[in-house]
Amino acid sequence: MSWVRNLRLLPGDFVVAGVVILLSGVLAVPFLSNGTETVYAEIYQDEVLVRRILLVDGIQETVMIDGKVTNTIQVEGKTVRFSASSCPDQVCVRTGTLTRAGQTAVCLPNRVIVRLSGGETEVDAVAGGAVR
Amino acid sequence: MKKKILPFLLLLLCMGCGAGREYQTAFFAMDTYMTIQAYGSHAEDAAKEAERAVFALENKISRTRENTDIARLNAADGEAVQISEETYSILSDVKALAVPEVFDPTIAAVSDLWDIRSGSGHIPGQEEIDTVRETVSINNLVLLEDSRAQLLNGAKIDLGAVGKGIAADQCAEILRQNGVESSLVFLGGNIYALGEKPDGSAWSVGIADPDNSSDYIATIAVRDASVVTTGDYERYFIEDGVRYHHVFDPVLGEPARSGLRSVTVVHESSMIADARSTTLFVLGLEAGLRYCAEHQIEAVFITEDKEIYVTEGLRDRFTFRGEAAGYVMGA
Repeated sequence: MSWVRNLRLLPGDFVVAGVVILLSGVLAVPFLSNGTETVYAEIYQDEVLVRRILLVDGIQETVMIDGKVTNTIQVEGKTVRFSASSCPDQVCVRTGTLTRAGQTAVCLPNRVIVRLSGGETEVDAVAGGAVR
Repeated sequence: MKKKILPFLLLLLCMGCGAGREYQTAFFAMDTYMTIQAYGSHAEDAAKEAERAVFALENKISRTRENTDIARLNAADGEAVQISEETYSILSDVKALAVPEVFDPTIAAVSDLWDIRSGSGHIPGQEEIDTVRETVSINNLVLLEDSRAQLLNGAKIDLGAVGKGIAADQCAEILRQNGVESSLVFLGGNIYALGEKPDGSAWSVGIADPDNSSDYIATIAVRDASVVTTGDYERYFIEDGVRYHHVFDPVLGEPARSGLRSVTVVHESSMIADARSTTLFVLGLEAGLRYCAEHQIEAVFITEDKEIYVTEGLRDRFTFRGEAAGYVMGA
């Protein structure tokens, strides 16, 4: 280990090394946490995040979004869905209940997107789905 | 010596920060929601250029917007119309892709009569259906010299069955030209998976569950390929227990009832994937599988009985995930 001695490390070097190791640990936390535990329902309108709700067992919340039409979005436990919409085509309601991270549903007339984020996803996109 | 340690440590810390620079754009176009996710140093410029191309294409081939090439052609009452070279080239491709009595983009009059896209569709009278279905024939689309086109016998064009596919191909081409090697183009359910993911693995594309389209019943691993689904589950109305959807049988002039809920096609050309997913949906399972074998098309069929059929070439890239939702693999 002569190369270590040749480095002639000073106390400050250990401080730098310690800070680097500490930073690495802190930065790694979001990636190490179990993604399936913390899933959020994110509601966007015109690409702007209007609500972000942490989904936990037992939670119940109804979110109304007004625009060209009115959307009723129902959060229930770890799921979310468009429960009603005043739009004529009802595509958002028909998309069904979102249960897995990565799933999304969209109301085109209102430009509203509901997305489950935060967990692990198996797919990069769904063909034939209204949104990625 | 020790002076070299700090830069080295900083380099270690920063490794991974700059790798696979990601840019994503999301926008509403062609009556749907679209995203383009791209990686690499040219990702942002390329994705923005691709987005602009989608809007430019829509301004040429939409039939609901005013003054597009297609809107002018449909409104010309049989007269020859000067159109852009791009639209002329698209119409030329579409003519080649048409399959008599199965896939015909001169279906617009039928589509207008049923009005399913508006959400207020209704079953028309048989006489009305008979009148409009007579206008459907790709032979009514005549391509003349000097980028002029003409529609005969009351025919009207609807490029809805290929428009998003054409747009996806254009996006992929622009991304490639800009040096992007990894990108996922999502145009309202039409997907183009360019290259592979930044970690070197294949893109994983789900196939929507027709009963709950936010979920998926299978995944397909793809590289440099488009995945397009045609299904009966997004735009439809139900009357007397029958589902009337937006995919029409050109002979009957009514929604195709082929026993299928959806067909997904994987192809390097998104335009072909788009056109053939509709073709196969109208053909039904048996004729569809024959068509796939004869024309080297790779597809996944979902039947009304919740059976899933996969063509030979896709089987090693296909993973079934539909058990919990009640789907089974067909024989």
